[in-house]
Amino acid sequence: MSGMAEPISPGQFLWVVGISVVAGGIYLWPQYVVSLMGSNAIYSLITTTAIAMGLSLAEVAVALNMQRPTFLTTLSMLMPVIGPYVIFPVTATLCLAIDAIVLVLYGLMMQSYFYPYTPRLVIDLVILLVAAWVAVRTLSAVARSVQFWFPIILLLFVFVTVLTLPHISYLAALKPQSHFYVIPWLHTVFATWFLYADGSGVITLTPHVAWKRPRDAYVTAAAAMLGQGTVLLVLYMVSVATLGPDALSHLYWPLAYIYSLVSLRSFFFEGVGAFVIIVWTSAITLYLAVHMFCFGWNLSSVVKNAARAHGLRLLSISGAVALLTVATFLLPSIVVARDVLFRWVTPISLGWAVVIQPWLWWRSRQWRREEVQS
Amino acid sequence: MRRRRWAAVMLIVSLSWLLAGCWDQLPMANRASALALSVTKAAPHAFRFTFYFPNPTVTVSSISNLATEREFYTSTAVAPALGLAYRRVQSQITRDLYLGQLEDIIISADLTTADVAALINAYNRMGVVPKMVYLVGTPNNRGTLPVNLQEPVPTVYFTKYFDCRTCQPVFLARREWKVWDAFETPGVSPVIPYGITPTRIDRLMVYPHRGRPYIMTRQETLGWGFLTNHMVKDTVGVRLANGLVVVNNVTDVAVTHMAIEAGHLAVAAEILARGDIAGWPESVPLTNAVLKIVERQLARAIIRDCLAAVNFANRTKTDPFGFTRDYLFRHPAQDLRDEKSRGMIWPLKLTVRVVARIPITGVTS
Repeated sequence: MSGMAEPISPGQFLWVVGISVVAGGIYLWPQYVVSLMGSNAIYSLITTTAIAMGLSLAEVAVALNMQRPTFLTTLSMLMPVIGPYVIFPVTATLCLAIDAIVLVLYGLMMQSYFYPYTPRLVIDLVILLVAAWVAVRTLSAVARSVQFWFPIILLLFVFVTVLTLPHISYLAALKPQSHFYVIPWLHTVFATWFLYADGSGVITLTPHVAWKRPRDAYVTAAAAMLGQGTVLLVLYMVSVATLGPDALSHLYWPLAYIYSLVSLRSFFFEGVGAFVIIVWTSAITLYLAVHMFCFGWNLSSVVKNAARAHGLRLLSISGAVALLTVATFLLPSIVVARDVLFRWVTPISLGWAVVIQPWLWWRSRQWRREEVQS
Repeated sequence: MRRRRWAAVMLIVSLSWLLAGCWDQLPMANRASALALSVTKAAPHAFRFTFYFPNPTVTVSSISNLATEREFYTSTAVAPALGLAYRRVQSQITRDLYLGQLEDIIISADLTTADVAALINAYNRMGVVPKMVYLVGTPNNRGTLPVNLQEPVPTVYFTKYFDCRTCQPVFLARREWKVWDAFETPGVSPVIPYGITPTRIDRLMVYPHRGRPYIMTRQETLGWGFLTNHMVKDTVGVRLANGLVVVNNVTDVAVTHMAIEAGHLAVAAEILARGDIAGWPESVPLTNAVLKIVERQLARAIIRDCLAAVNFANRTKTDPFGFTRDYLFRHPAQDLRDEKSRGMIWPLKLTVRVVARIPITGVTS
């Protein structure tokens, strides 16, 4: 595993952590939240981003306390039985389930807006294969790919988003409502979490960064979450101010709709908003790549022999591809996939993360103290 | 290493085949691209859908001696819904009926709110058709596409006119997504520009909660333009004791505040208007005092337009300005958000304060 663990720079860590959240499911934002909360959806965005920042700080603390190569080895050190046999499988399953649904919905969105006659399996499989192709490389290679592509994705995103600004007409809809309702707020906080679920990738990545000071690790992880939160905020503002909360909640893909309105008759082709499919496809590919990379690396880190570990890694990434492909068949329609995501998988995932991460942090602190004393 | 390179090459080759969109590839020559669609009422529950296609036999050299009515060919179907009309028209033409290039939808004024809402909803549901098409209203049973010498095929008169922001004294262009949005949002009555003749589009057609649309007068349309910041260049004539002063390029910035007062939606509008002097009576010297009078008269004219527009809204129980919507964004009343209360909820009570300025004058007397 020595070749795998060549350290990456703090900047690369920032980009990799950034792409491992939000980037996959961004095209689903913000319809569900707005349909339940209207203009108050801003509160659930702020809450979820704050939780994501808090949990990522806890993950960094666990990783710095334990200094193990991956999440799985950290767990087997902290809790020899529960860790590797309960916590890891559940965390990985929840993360893979969210990835699967996000990918299936992405294929459905591409079909309904851009490729009506292309079979959905082709769209999903091509994304999965490219993601797996990136994921089988070493950490520094994955980090370099993300470091190269993610800024381009962001620039292109800013470009197409600026083009949608002339359609903004409801600035009045951006102000929160005069009343605050608690139950829809909790509901939407639970339903938004899928954007920030990263399957404890931060614990896997943090020990492999050349940190100057431990503080930098916390600042960088928090900055990644905050940056992605800002992207969500910008998209929220653009979509609510363009369509208004009422029309927005009638669209499954409000952002795809808004970008399809961008049309420059003077440009050499009209639908400039279609650039957004380049942005989203590369974002979801890298997002899946980072998740699959962490998954494969974690599973292979239990084997000492380097050649065997490599084989196990390839096997687990292929297994993830196979599972996600099967999910394409299991989730037949947009309505079913959204129901599973928003009502089941995402709330369970948030509940799990909120319980497990702080617990791990507390255990790792105890472990660290005992280590120092002995 | 070599195997890995082969895998990469195979991946790139298969990607370029799989994702090039060739699954639905169809040559342009095999498509009939409709540029405009007109919808009129044919029977109580049926509409006449007419699709306009550019005549493919037109060439640059033949265009000058071609009768204007031959620039487009049409295909018509009477059907209860857009999807059914699509199928019937498709069975009449030899090429694939394609709506991806549609530019305008012409809606006859005898279609009720429910008819238009169903039409727009059906259109908006189709994933791959452009949502940027312009909607335009015409008098009953005259859903025809104006074709004249100004704009030879394949340019469509309406598209050219609405694309040109400065061609319209009041910016009336309405795109499909915007109208759909107004149909979905409580507290605003959808509006569509209306042309009494196909090439004179200077009024608005306002859709009430149910029934046929109301048509604003020109003055009411101007008031709507001033109150909703859609004024591009109005011209106002002000009569002094010694003659007529003409102020043109009148534009404005309106800021509105809403509150509920005694069962009314009280709208306080602050309008800052400005204009240029275009005509001045020979015998009147241009002094500061006279200019002040002209400015005051201009402000009064704007107030009259705004009040006419609000009176129209109260008379027809509509809210074409979206004042109620802006109020509901901040104070959502769940019981008001159902189908029955769409549109006007409270009568409007307008308090308008207009400050008019004429900063530039090119003549002294």
